[in-house]
Amino acid sequence: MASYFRFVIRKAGWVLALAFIITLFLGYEIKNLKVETDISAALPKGVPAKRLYDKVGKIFPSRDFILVVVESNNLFQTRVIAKIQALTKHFEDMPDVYSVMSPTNAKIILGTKEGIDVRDVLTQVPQTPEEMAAYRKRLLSDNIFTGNIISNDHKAAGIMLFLKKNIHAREAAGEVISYIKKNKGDLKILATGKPVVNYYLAKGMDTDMRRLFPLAILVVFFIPLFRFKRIKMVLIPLAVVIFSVIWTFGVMALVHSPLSHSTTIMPILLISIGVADGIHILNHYFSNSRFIKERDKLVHFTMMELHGPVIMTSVTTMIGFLALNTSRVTSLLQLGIFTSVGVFFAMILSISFIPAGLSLIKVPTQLKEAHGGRLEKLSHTYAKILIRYKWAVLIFIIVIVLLSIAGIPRIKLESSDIENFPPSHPLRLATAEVNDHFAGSNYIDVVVEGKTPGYIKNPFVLKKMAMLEDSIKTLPYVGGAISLVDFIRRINQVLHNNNPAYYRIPNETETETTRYFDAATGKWVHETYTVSGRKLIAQYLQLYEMSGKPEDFANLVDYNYETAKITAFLRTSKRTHLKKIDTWTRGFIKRHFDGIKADITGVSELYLAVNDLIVSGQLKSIFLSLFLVFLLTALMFRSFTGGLFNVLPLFFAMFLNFAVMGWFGIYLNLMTMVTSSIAIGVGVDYAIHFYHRYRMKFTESHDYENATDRTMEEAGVAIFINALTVAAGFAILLFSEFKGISLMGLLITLTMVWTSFGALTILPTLFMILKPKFNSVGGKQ
Amino acid sequence: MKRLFSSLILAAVFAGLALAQSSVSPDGTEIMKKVLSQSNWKDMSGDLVLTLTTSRHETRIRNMKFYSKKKSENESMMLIKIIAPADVRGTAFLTIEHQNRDDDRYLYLPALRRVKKITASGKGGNFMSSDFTYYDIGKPKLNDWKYKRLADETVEGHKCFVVEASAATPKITKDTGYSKIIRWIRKDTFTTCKAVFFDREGKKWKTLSVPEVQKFNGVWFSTVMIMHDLQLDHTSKMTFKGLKINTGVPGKFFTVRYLQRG
Repeated sequence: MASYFRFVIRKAGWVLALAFIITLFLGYEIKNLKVETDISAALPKGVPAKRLYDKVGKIFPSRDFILVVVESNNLFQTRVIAKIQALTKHFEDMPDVYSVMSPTNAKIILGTKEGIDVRDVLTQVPQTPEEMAAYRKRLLSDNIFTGNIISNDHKAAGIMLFLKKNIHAREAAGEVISYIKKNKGDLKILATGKPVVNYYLAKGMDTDMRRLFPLAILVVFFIPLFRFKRIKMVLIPLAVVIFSVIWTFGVMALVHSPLSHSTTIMPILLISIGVADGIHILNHYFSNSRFIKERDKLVHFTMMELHGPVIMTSVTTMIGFLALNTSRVTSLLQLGIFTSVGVFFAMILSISFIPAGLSLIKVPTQLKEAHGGRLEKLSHTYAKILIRYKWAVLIFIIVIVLLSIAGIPRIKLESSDIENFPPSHPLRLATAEVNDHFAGSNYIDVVVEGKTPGYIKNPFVLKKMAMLEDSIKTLPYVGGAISLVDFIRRINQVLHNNNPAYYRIPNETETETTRYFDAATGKWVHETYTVSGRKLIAQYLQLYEMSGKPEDFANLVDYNYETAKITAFLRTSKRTHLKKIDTWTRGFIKRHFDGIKADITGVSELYLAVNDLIVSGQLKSIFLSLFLVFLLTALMFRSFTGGLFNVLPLFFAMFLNFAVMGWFGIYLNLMTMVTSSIAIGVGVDYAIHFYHRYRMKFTESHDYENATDRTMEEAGVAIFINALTVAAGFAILLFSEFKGISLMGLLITLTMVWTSFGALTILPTLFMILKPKFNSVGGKQ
Repeated sequence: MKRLFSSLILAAVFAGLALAQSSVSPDGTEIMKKVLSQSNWKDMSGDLVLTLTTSRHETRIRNMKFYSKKKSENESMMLIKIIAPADVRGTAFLTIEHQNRDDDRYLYLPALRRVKKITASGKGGNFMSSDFTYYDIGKPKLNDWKYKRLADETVEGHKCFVVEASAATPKITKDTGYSKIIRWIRKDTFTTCKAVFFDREGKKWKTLSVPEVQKFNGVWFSTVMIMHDLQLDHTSKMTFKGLKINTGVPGKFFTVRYLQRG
């Protein structure tokens, strides 16, 4: 290493130039970086929920829908209907749209004197009050539409856009939203649905990046500047973090890995983590400048002293993030891998760019006085308190841990992609509006999988579907449901003189009466006969098809009537609500479906699956990373107890975090769960530094209290500054658009406080009370 | 206007010769006139297989028997009986074309033993939920369109006239759903061998291809027609078999009472 650093210092200019060239090259690649907000992309293929989702996607032509809502106190006026028709036509023409269902293009099934009429509800925008009244009557005559394209109170119209598959639903949502913005005039027009959520998510991620990144840069610039007071010097570690972020994103672009909701926080992570090594190096550089005056020697000495800890802490951090890989959720996997890559880049830059940079600027002269003083004094006072009240401190810590444990059962597993947005966000408002007036903006699909073509036409299948559809509608947060059942029931009624008793699925065998004119007798003859329900249903469908378009039912049943789905519209996106509906539905299928194969799918189902995966995966990854950190530190210090001591503050921090979540009602979910891994990877550094220095000081004095005081002064201050900077960097996340990310920021910031407190308080207290044996420095027993 | 089964037809016979011999190159209207004038049959019957295919390669097949009879020069009647699939076997569909009002359409449902009238909603409606509209299978009215002859082309080895037909009035577009149709018309048979349909907004909507024509009683008939909806990526194929021309299909076939009898 010695000759390596000599080389770096000698060729400093080249090192800097090389770093700049790599940065330019990778920075240019970033333009190819894609953003992925689709939750289904986050799931691994093997998960059953994902498999079914993909399968259903193959059977049905469309799976995402956008609901555009037009609100007006008086919906039925020419101006408003004309607008709805114009919107409908525009949406129908969008290349990404498979079909549109709206109050101006819907088909209604009407009973007429002689037969049945399946017709367009509207051919021309009504101009006169009479025409308008007739249109209104036509539209409301078919209750299939209430809650879907006409609100329950008839004050809002819904335009449902079923998007094609294999398109960028998010971009289609963007187009829809900007079209609405341009064309809404004085009407209130809103858009909801998963693609819209994803659109706003991507947009929010973008705003977040633009706003939080510069803020984080400012924080990691000004906090070190406050201590070191030299702009040029502070710029060096700053360049390291910026470069490492650019390199990481560049590499992501090169390997075609998209940004996801999880990876947007990465720049902030990398900045906060990456700056730590630089601060460490600068700190020692300043202390050493008191003894070494020659620049190159000073840089060389500092680097020889520090490259070990820099590499060590970087490796533990990388392990913490790589442990996210036990989670099978793709976006977390990416977060884990690329943050590790970024930390690696920051480490490489810290041991190349920093020495090279330092060797090119002047050695600071007037900083002997500027350095330290107040903080060092404070550290002595703190050490004294610990020494005198060590038992009290121990009890205090135990009480905190007990309180924390008591908080853990209070933790709620909950997430909501809608509530992740701020309360005043257009999406929140639109969703609330839609949930008030319509069946809901979220949905689940119950898929009935038949074994043979035509299976769905069987009365026993349709009856079960009807039973489920009618029951699911009574659940809380279920606003409505639609399936082929509704059409069959409607036609059955219409063909039986509109008799409401026939609003049902035909039985296996039906008794029908008919009359015909007997030419021989010249009289009408009434005749009663039996017919199979299956035939009735098939012929109803044939009747509908006679006036329909080829794929009118394409979103309800597949072409051969083998697989059908019931879409239930939901007024919630909360995990616990979804879970209840999911559990109820599965139970219903199990109890009543008698061997008819049915399963639940839909984006909400995927959210459930993702969340469950994360939570189960995350516990594993927490224990794995704790174990790895223990193993690594135990190896590093060649001591089993050493390893234990190093992970102890991590346990403490983890308990406290869960306690905060439990006591303050922060939900456990994708975002908040990740904090644990981050906490381990980053937080262990403080314990390592403290343990390392304490062992050194103890070996010198063989006095636990003296070692506490000395360590507090030398390592304590550095840990404090470091934790402060990192915590401040993470605190930037508090300003995120998204509640999930800002809570995550809060938890990580707190974690930095807990882990540094753990290192600075729990470790010395335990050392003084337990009086462990320390092996001598250098690792020999 | 209209149509009915004259459709299949778009036939032509001797006219080709006359045109070929005339030294003056015919314009678009003359070509279309020739094409339309060839539907000089009185009645016909046969088997029809309708195959619908989605973009997901799912198919629906309907086997039918059909009977058609001219009511007047531009009006005809058609009876279709479904043979398969089994659960709709016996379902029968009667259409009576009218020159100046909506067509009458009736469906006999054997399960209900009842005839139901289906309200026709324009000629642009889909024929049996296929990509063919009633307009497509009917006989186009010459004056509904303005014709423009484009440069001749060769399609699959057949020398073709190319005629662009634009809707004469907005009402035609509204009625048919088409703003423009480009037809490739075989010089040898005067049948359409290919066509491209443009929607109301002038966007390419559907393409028709006619891979098979046969001569009956000296008239060329399109016996296989494939319509592909480009916007929905959906395909419908009509295959006619056992065509019989002018065999004297009785007029009573085309009454509600006959339909009711099943």
